[in-house]
Amino acid sequence: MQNLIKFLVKYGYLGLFLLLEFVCFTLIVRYNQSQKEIWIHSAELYAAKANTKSSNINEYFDLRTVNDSISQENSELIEQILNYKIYVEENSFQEYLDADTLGYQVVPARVSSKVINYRNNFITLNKGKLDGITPDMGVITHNGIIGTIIACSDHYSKVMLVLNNLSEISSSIVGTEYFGNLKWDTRSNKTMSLYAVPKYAAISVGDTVVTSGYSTIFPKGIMIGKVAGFDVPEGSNNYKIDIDLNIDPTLSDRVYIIKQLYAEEERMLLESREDEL
Amino acid sequence: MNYKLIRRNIIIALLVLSIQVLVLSRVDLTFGDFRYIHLYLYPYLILTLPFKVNRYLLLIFAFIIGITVDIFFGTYGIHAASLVLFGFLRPFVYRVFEPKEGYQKGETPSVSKNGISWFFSVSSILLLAFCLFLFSVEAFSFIYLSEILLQSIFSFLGSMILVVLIFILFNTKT
Repeated sequence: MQNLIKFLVKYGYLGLFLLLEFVCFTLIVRYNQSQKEIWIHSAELYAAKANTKSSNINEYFDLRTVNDSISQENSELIEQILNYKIYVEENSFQEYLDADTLGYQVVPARVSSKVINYRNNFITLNKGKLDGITPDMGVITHNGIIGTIIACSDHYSKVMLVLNNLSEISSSIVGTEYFGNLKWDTRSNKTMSLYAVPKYAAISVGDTVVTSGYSTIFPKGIMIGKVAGFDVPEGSNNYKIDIDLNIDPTLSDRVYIIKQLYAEEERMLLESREDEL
Repeated sequence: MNYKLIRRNIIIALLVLSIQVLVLSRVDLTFGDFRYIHLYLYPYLILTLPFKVNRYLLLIFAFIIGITVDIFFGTYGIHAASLVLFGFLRPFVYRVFEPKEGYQKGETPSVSKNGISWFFSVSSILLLAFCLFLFSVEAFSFIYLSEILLQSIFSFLGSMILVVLIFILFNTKT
């Protein structure tokens, strides 16, 4: 009560002033024609503005869902492109149209945690066994490669980034038939090195590097980066090619997991042959 | 304040209001395209209320006087809003220009005690604020900014002369 009185003593004067002004302005917009029109017009204008603002904000809250659906759409498109490319290479477009099950399936995923800026970098994705993810699947974005799945739980999977000392990706240079092993030399997140390309291969700075497809992890032709420079180490027959990656794999938030339909079968076959030898 | 003084003040109030609504509102100070001078005398009534008048009463008086003028002008609320602002600002401006010995209880502003320069200072600040607010409210939109400023400044000058004259005329005796 005492506080209330104090408050009234302190702000009563201002309060009465504002009250009287409010009364005056009510009278003004009520009984004066030109002011009334301006008032109504402005009120409508500001109401419209406020509505636009609030709908903008609502849109912002919907972004998560929108992004999810766009991610889903993208994964479907990537899936179609991958399969289409394979069939085009084999000159059997009709087969592509007739195929019941596609050779590649693409699953969208979000990065749920990251362990980066070390020598061995990992990220975790929010898709796991229950989504049909198994180890040794490739992870890409729409314009670059991210890494390989190495372990799965029911709802999550662990990805070894290409930026990892243990990672080795078979990749080829567009326009040549040569391919090599892509490794990370821990220098920066955007450069990798390509080894085992013979030194008589005709390459030049700016050539595009893509995945070779000679593994069950990545399909052929996924963009990796560009040749930034190359040299032949002494006593070697092979180039050491510096590659500028198209993307920084540690920055990606939405990625796509590639399921290869007969990967398991192919892998088992490879391993059995090795055993027999 | 004794009854005599109250009666005198009421008479002055009625006189000033009559001058405002019957004479000044009809004075046409248009020179060709130059139609920016409007004369306002009634803020004088708020200016010369006693120094120690209750602040709430001050606002109420301002509102009543403003509405009265509005009724005659047919501009409901515009003059009342301006005069309420005028009354609201008065205690602050008076405090800034308070003489060393302070204001005495029951005393009204007068030439002999406060001097012309004091009156000139307080009335110019308050009247300028009053005019700016009045014409802003009248235009009700700041797209007419140049118009508002011109009208405010010229009306301020005109009203200022009038208010100071009336102040000297009514207060030299006491």
